[in-house]
Amino acid sequence: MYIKESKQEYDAIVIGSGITGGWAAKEFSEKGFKTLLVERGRVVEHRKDYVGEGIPPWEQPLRSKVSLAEVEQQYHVQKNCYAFNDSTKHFFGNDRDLPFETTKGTDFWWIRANQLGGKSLLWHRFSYRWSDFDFNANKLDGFGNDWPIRYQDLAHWYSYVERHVGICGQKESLPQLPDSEFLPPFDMTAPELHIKQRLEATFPDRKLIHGRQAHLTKPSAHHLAQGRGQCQARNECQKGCSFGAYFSTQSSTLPDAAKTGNLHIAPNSVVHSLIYDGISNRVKGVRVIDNEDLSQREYFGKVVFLCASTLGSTQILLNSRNKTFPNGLANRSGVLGHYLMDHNYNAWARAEIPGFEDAFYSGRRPGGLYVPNFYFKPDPKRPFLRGYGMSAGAYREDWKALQHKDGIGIAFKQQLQKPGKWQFWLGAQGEMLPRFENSVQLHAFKKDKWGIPQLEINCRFSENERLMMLDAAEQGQLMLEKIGLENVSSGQHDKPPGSGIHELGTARMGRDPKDSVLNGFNQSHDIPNLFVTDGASFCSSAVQNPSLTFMALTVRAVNYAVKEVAARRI
Amino acid sequence: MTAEHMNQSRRRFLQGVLISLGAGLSNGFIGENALAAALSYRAVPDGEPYQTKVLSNEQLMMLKKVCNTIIPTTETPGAGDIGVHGFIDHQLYHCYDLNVHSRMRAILSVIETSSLRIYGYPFTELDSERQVVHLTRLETAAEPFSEQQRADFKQLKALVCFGYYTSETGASQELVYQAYPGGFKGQIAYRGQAGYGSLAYY
Repeated sequence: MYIKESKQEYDAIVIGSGITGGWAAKEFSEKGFKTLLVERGRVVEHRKDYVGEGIPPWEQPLRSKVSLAEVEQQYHVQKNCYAFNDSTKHFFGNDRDLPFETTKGTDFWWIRANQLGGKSLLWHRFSYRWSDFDFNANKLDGFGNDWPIRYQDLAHWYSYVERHVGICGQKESLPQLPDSEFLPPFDMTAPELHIKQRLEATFPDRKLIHGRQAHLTKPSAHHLAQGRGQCQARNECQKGCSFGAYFSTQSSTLPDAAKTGNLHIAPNSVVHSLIYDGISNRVKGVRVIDNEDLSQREYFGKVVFLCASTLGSTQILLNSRNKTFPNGLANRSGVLGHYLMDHNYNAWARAEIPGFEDAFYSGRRPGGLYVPNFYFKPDPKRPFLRGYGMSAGAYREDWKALQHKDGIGIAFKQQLQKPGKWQFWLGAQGEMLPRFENSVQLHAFKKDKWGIPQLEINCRFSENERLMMLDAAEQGQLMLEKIGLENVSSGQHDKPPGSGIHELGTARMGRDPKDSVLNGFNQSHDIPNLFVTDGASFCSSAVQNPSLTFMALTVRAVNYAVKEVAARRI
Repeated sequence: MTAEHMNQSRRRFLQGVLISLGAGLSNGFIGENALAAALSYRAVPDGEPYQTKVLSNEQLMMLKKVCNTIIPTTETPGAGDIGVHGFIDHQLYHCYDLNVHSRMRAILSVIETSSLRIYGYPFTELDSERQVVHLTRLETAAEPFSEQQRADFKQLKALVCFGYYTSETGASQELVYQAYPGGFKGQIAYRGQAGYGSLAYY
């Protein structure tokens, strides 16, 4: 299955093996296409290469911490990710080898995961459908271009991927958050049920629901057939899960693709640029630099899917500029590299929950609850556009919180042996407006070790995002006070774009080739056999996590491409 | 801990997973990470040679007393009994900058000099009751201690707690270590049992 040199002309080349690349590879190979999956990083095999998994803290060299020298030399950006630790660091990109620039006065945390499986190994697994309130948003307020698709275009494909992935959650029939095909949700705790009841009674426009996540709470026969098992509630997902209990390329899409016999994988193949044939106006293949020995090679295919991550895909297109496309391949519109977005997580609220001393829980739930966006209908009286969702959850303090209390000696030790007070927290996840000036371009002269021009990222949160986070902190405070929680506090962080790890846009879809890179099927307006199906294709960020939507977009695009090939239009 | 030890952990773990999934044992496991094992801290019994990295040997022995004062011996060993003081020296060296090193050395000196001044004896020679009183005064910034000294002591105390509750003793004897909870149950009765040990510390 793994190849290095190949003269074969593949039916499809998929660049990148994360969430979207894994899906594209599965769909193409199951439809009989001879498929090449090109991955810039090393091979990570399911189970075998989850080297940080199942090792108790006392057997870890620095008890889960990464040494200061290693952080400073290799992970000065990646360290900012909540999931970065000694058991997961090998799934993060090495900042020493992956330099990028930010425009003066701006900052961006570009979290990387360059190995087979990409960020599907590290993601937080929240999976929410988007609604027409999201797909209509740009059209209504004029920020960004109109999405060329609506909910009905995706509904079938959402169901298709959900049945395979396994999404736990509960039907709610909310207009702003369509239901998925659900496995049972993780339990709520006793105080969470209480808070849900109080919150929904006090604020009739707001809901506190089960988080929807790609976890097998109760695997179906289909999931068991993938070799996957039930979630053990370890909450150590980013180390890799040998139970295959969360969705990743390794646990789910890759085994299916491999089974067909139609899949080849070219690991350690850093795509330098796409090979364009001006006579046929087709992409013919990819130029690759070997990740390790820096040698060059080429692969050829009839259809090319860019699934290399939002900024990765755009970087490849920008670096594939030629005489026909001097500003980047497939960029007649001039918007390639523009309208970069992320989600804004810069507001929080927390409180103590009185009572419930005799209630507890067992296991570590790998996720939490969710307050869906209650600002989904535009309102001119609000001082900002769009809205936010909120992650939420309750827990009892353990030694990690209690260690900070005053106390020395036996009483202190005994106190840390017992669970402490119940705590409740809310964390905002705000929509970020698509703005032309938030952009990436190739640096004029700085290159990486593969000779590829570095990206220069120029991205800021705007006043709209700042006002939204101010509101989120205020609303969080208000909600927790009104429902009778104690010692309520709230506030804001000042984390830069990129910190949400939901980079979106820079090769957006649209109806008009003059203001978009891709059409409504993620196909290049300019070059018919070129598709981009990862987050780069998004026209807006909505408030929901994007992964489920780009899974659906990917399978829909493959289905379309296969028909176009059959009709000889590609 | 040795590389072979880590290797065995991985092997046992994967076998357990594969059995639980009803699969065969055909999948391999990753080889040892010798470097990681070599870097890892191993508790050294008192009296055996241990090359300190950040603290002096005197400070290390004093820190042992501080560890056992904060988390003393009960039915389970105290923090000093299981070598948390040595762990802290090791952890400071690998994970903290020189500023923290000097503040941790300084706060140990503060404990010592103030003990001599107040009681006329070094901290290590105070009886355990006085040791508790002394550190309690420091932690509450009571006379003669400053707020900054309180803050530095809090950081030292957090290192003691981290070292203890991520150790095998702290996580699996003092607390309850659940490698595989087997699923999440949202509502169980709490009847005073020990809380769950931390596995996913990050």
